[in-house]
Amino acid sequence: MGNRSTIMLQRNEIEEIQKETGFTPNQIVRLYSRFTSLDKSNTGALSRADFLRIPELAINPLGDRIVHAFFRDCPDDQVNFRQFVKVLAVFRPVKRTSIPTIARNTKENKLKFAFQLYDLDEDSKISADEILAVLQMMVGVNIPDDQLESIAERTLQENDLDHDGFISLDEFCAAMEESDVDNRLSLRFLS
Amino acid sequence: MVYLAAQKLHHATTLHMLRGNHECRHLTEHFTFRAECLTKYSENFYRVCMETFDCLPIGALLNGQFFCVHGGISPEIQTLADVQKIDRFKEPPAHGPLCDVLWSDPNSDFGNEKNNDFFLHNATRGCSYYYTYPAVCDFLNRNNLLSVIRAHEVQDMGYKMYKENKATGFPALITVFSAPNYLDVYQNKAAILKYEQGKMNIRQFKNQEHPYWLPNFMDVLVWSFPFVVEKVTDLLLSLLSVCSDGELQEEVHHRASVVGEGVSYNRVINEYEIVKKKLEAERPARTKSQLSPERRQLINAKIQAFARMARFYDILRVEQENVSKLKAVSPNGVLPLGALAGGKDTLLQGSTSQHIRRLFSSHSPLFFFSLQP
Repeated sequence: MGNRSTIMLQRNEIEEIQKETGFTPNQIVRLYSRFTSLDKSNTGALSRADFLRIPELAINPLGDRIVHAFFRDCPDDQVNFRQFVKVLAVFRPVKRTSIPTIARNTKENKLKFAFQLYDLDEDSKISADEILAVLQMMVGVNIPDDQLESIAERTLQENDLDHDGFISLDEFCAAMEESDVDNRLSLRFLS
Repeated sequence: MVYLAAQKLHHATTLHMLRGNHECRHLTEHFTFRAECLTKYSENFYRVCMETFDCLPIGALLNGQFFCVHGGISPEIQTLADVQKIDRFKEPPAHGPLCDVLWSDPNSDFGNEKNNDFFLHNATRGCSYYYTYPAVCDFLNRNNLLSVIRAHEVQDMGYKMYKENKATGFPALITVFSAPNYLDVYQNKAAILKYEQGKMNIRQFKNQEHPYWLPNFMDVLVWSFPFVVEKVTDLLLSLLSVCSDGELQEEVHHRASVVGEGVSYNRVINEYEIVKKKLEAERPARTKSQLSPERRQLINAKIQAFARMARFYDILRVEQENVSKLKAVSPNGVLPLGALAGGKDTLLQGSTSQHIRRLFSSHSPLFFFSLQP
């Protein structure tokens, strides 16, 4: 399907995407080729079914949440290529000397992506239940529920600086200060 | 800590706490007390705790009869007055009477010693001494005491009575240990000694479940973050991986048929290097917009190499057990060629003794013998 990819992606589109995301043209072309091979039904956009076809997704406990991140701002539950690349752009490594475009791969955006993985009901705050859900997913059967609840409670107390019973994005970022988010939530895209 | 301090304030003249060997800067830094202080409170709080420990008394005389101390007696202490002479308001040193009273232990065959030594070097602790039955009896008799009561060593039943002092008919030494299921591993009972109206009672108790803490007192967000990161990057990488398993297998079989052996990662890299050098030589002539066939080949080789690496690491991670089994059996600690490329099957194959014999038959016969059932 090599021919089709190059026809479908015009040079000006590549330039626009480059400005928006910071990817180089080579990277964008490669990502496009990957996008089209995921798009088995050839509709020009990815549906949830296209993602679910990836075998690694089934065994990944955060699979649903991560896929959801792609669909977050998409109408009709379809991810077009622009949206696809925008989400991936968050994971570009942070270079000291990068030209400040509408930089997507800022530390704030990376943290926001992580925050959205915890915030299941998308109300822009992490509740005690959501913390408990993460704990259960990670240790679940090994530790009794009431212990997990008390750990979740304690985490909430320690990080909820304005005492509203939830952890906001700012409080989350403060908690992650020491966690080297820049390097960890980065993928090296082949250029 | 705060609870104990509160109790002490409340019962200043009737509650007394003795210093143990853990109540010092060295051990609180080595174990988790300092970390806990810093996480939950502050460096200043920790400093105050250490200064409090420096003030703790090191011994007590119960009812004029029992000498209570954490570790035991010392070659540099003959009388109770010697104990009082010690300047305790400091970090316990590595030797000397202050160290000994906190660190010494009874000899392992206490009461059955073959000779009349009093103090032996304490190899278990790396400092201080083992004291013997003759040493303790000597101390007791000189000071008109009934027994030495101490702690410092875990006891399965929570306490231990040692051999009686001939002069009194009473155990020369008693160990009391009041922390049940010590370190969550010893599964021991704990005991306390109650001395009332001339009678000594021992109470034993078992452990209670304690609240679960994440390691290093981490909160859930920080603790779960590496896991979240791993899962996210895993998924995105699988989203983006260019070679499917099928394509990779084809590549492996093709090369295997050409070369007649297992494929190694190094081989792929070497081929990649060759093509790369060739390209570098003709670089000036290359135009930007066109992907020449050589460049295409180079990119492919690069991608294949990375995909193979990624797959190898994946196999290594998933099949850890089989890999270490196989490595343990191989003569030079390295996996046989081709074992990793084929994934789980070749690894399993590799670890059957038949296959090993075949692969390693060229190596020392000594090794061959060790495989016989």
